[in-house]
Amino acid sequence: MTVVVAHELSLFLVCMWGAGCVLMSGQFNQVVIATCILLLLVVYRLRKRSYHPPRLVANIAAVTAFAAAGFVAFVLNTLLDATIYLFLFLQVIKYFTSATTRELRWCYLISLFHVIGASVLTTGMAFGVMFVIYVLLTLVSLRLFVLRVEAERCANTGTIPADMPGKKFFPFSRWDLSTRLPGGLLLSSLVLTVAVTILSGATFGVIPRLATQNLFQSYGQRPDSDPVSAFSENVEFGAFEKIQLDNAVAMYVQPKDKQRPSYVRMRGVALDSFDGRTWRRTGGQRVASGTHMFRPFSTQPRGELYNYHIIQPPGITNFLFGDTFPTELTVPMGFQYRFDPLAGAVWLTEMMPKEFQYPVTSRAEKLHQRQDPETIAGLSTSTMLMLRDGSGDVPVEVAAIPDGARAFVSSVLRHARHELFTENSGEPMEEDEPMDISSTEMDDASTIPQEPPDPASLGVPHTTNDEPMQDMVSPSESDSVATASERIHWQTMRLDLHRRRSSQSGAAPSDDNNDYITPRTFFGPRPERMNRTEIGRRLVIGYINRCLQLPETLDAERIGKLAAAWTEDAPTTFAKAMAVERRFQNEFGYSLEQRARGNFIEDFLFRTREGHCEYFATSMAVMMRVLGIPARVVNGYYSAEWNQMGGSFIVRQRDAHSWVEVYMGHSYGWMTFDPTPPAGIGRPGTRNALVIALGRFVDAMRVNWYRYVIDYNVSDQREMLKFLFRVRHNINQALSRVNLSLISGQSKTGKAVPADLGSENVNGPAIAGGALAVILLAYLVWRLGPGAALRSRRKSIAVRYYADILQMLEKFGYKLAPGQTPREFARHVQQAEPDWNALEAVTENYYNTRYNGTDISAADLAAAARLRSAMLKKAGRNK
Amino acid sequence: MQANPTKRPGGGAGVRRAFFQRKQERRAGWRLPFRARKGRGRTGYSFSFTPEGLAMLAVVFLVGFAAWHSGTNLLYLIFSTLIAFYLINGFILWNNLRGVIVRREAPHTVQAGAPFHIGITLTNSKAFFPSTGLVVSSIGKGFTGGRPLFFDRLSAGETVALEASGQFANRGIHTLETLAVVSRYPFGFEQRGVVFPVRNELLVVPPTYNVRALVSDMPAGYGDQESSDKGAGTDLYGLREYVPGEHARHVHWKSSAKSGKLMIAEYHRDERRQILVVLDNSLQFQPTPLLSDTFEKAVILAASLARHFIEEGYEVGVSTASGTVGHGNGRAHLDTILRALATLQLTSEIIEPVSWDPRIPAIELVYGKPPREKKPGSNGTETMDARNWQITDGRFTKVATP
Repeated sequence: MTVVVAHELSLFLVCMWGAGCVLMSGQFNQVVIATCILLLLVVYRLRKRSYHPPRLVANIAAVTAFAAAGFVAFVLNTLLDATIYLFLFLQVIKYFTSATTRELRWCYLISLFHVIGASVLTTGMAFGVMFVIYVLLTLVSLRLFVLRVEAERCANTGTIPADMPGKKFFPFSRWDLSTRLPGGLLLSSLVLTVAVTILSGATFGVIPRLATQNLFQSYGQRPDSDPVSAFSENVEFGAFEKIQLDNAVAMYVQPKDKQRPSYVRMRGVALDSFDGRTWRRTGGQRVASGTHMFRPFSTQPRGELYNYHIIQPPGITNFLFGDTFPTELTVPMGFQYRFDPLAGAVWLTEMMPKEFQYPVTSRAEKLHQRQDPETIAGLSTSTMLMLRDGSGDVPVEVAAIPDGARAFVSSVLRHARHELFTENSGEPMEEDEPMDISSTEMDDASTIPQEPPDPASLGVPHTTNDEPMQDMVSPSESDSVATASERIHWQTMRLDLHRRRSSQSGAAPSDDNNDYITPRTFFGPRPERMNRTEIGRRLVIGYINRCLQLPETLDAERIGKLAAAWTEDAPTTFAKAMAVERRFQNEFGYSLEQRARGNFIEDFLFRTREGHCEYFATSMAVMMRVLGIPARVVNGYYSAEWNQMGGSFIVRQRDAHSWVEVYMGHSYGWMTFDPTPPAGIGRPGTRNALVIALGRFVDAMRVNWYRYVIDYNVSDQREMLKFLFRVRHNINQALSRVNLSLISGQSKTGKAVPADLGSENVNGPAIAGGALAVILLAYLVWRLGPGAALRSRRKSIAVRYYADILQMLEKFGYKLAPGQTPREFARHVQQAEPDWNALEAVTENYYNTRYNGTDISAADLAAAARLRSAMLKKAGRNK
Repeated sequence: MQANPTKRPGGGAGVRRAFFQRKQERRAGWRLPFRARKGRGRTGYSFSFTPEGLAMLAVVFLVGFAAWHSGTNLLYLIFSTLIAFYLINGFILWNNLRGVIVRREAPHTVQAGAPFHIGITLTNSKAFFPSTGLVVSSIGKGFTGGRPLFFDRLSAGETVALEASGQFANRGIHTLETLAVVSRYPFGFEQRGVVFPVRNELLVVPPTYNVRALVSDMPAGYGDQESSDKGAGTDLYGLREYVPGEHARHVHWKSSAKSGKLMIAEYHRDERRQILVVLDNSLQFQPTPLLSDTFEKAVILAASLARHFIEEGYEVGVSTASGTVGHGNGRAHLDTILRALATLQLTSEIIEPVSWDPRIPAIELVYGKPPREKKPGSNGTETMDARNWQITDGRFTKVATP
């Protein structure tokens, strides 16, 4: 392949690759882009035949392109689209009409604009791969372009004049357009690509991130279709059957700590209302930004604390996740989110067209570490957050309220105030200062009744909205556990009341805000005389009550009997929940097929006894509710697929999971139960090992791409600086230790070296060994590497010069006689030609290079060249 | 000719400069110093952005601004890559010119207006890196017609020679002082160049043309001259008495028999064909441009006549106010005449007009200079007026008079 052919081909590839980057972004009309690529191919073929169109055609095409772009920009109101389309067609036109090689420079510039445009519109790793290839192609093509342009403007591209005196003595190497492609061009371009990548990576890392506005980030089409996820506020029963067959990555969970859990249970949204077919989240919501602190129903820290970095690809869900239970989640600047403090759910206000990344801190509650709250030391009455019972005369020890409970109550109160006293409750509202419930308001806070919540008195919808709500005294005592039969009775009564209200009002009980139950719908018109603490209390109790709600279509009595039978030996709430969970795990089977008919839950419980996680979670939640224990279904992901290369858990759609949270009382809060048999949790894929390995490699690349390229920010820069300082510190320490170690165990001050030296990150012997290895490697490179080749090449140069000079001497009649040594010959010639006094030196160089293996210096080389030059002149004069 | 720096960079005498100087001296050829300062040393170092480089620079700033403004990391990535391109371009460009030794090999004597070749030799004295895409952009001042020379690749330690073809329009001594090497490789964003102080001195002799039209006007046998000297000819010059030691071959036996003593026969030297070209370059005033032009034509005419007569077998001499080239023949003698004519200039410093031996046939070339008083004995001289002749198609032809 000649240089010209190689340049034309590489230029075509550069142009096509730029257009390909635009095509890959997926934001433009693919037909238009494909047409441009096809036109580029046609032009490439025409250029190979040296066809150039008339200038008029080029002008008409350019004017047409501008007009079309103007039309798109003006009529369709999409300036970016118009610009990209314009550049695509200008690329084709310029590529077609460039008559000289130098004019082709514009093609490179336009293709660069294409890549820049694509970078604005996409964040996928595919762009990274395409960009690296683009860099390689550009490196090759630009080098050929410069060589070609420079050669074309120079003289030595024609034929060699025949009458040049002494021409034959020059090692002529003329360069013309038919010169074959240098063999090392591709290899050196690869090396240069690596160099560019390293250098740009370093530059990328140190450029300060000082973004001022989101100039381009808001651009981008939203996914056309709804999210293919079971994560929303309304999840229809059976949604998991589809997505559990989907192998797409739902998120990457990257632990930031050295210690990592063996699996992650990514909690998404808790659903509290179930109508027999659909689970709903019925709590209110607020809009906020920045860091969200979860206020769980917990007074005790449970599980270990982990920090994660989550990467969610676009188009899956706008809910944000954290390992059970999340405690803190930071939404990146520039984004708003909604949250429901009661459900412990956070979600973005809109579905993002790009990947979304956020850090989250979680208390990873592991199921095998669960413990009955009744047996937990310290969870005595005095340390419980006690909601005041119906009689209202159970005092609360203010100072004993744990911080977690205070925070939660504070959060709920703010939520309630927002919902009740803000006219436009859907608008974003500034986060209030945390309420100090331990001081002046503690009396109010102390009015929250103690558990167990009374389903009959708290959550039952009112007969009339105007009627002030009255707390009904629980028929049970003040202890936290009621008998199963009593709870079934309450539940039945609650259902009766609910049915009665529905029949009287003729409408759904919660119709003020669609399906959501807000304080307004819950309490009716604004309760003027109700203080904030009372509102918070009722809101909490109302939510817990909703977690006792049962579908009307369900045969609660039949299920209740089953639940009672399963839990007859369980004295506490925890024991009951464990008993139910164990029954499901041991006596039921896992299947993705939907075999249950009619009333799914009853059919599942009493007939098929096989199903997937939705059946198990829903059934358990229903059974706990029937038993009078508040429970809710949580949708999320369960994954144990650890990618060592990427240092992250890969959470796929098929890892979607559903489990149950059971309310253990105000002193403990919600506890996770997973009734699904282990066979149905974290099911491995069916792909073979090679595909899995490749997939994990790609996933690792993707994680690192998102983590260290797309989401690289100021805090990462800070971390990098800290790391560098730490490395420097460690090296200094290690070197000082090596220094000490080398003095035979004595420090410079004469004191003995401490015994624990080298026990930290870097030790002296390792450094010394590394240094030796480096020295050895350098020696090997010197002996065998490119330097050795260079030395041999210099030898060949010296020998070649000597051979040239011998040839020239023959022209003058001096020929090396048989048996004559080069030294004798040189002396003989020099006697006859005193001007050529350098011949002896050249001969000595020849000896040294040829027989001693010594290197010829540049000075000797130049001396040889001078001698040859002098001989050439004499040859010219004689001619 | 090999560049040989004899002058240390002046001023300062800093350690670094001394280091580079030593480095240069270690090498026989001129080697680009690490940092050559323009105008201070013996070498000039140029740097400029190409139009492509300026456009790319604008794009770099644009992308950098967009990245800074938007905080989009992919724009930062492209920005970083463009900067990396620039940095690598700068490094390779600097490395291309580093360690390059240049030589220029030119003939000592060339003819004005006639193309000739200059050999340019580049040696890459670097230990590892090649030099790629070097262009010898300026062969030398006054050297016209030579396009730049392109050296595509010099491997480490490799020497490559190319030739430049060009010509000098005017006769005289031309000195080529410098040799400029530039490079845009690898990406063409910048152009860096080094002017190497490589000195070559060329003597550009006047061109020669066919003068048959001129000499045809001259009398037949002009310049043929019977010799009055003794020599090895065939015509008897005289007889004299034998001197012991003389070769017996020269004894004229017939006369010896007549006279009774040994007589030696002496002969005339054979007929001599001599001619003298006379060109008076002395002036008493500053020459006008017109006079200078006609003088140049006269010089060319003198050279052409000398060549013609030497090729015809004459012994040709040239006499000018600045000096005289004695009679002689052969190619070497022609070169001597041409070299003498190469540097001949109109001068007002010489008061005495040119004079020559009146016995020798001469052609005096006039070119519009006011006539000066001729010395006695110059009556047999042919006079040719250069203004009456023009050079057409490589020959002198007579100017048509209206």
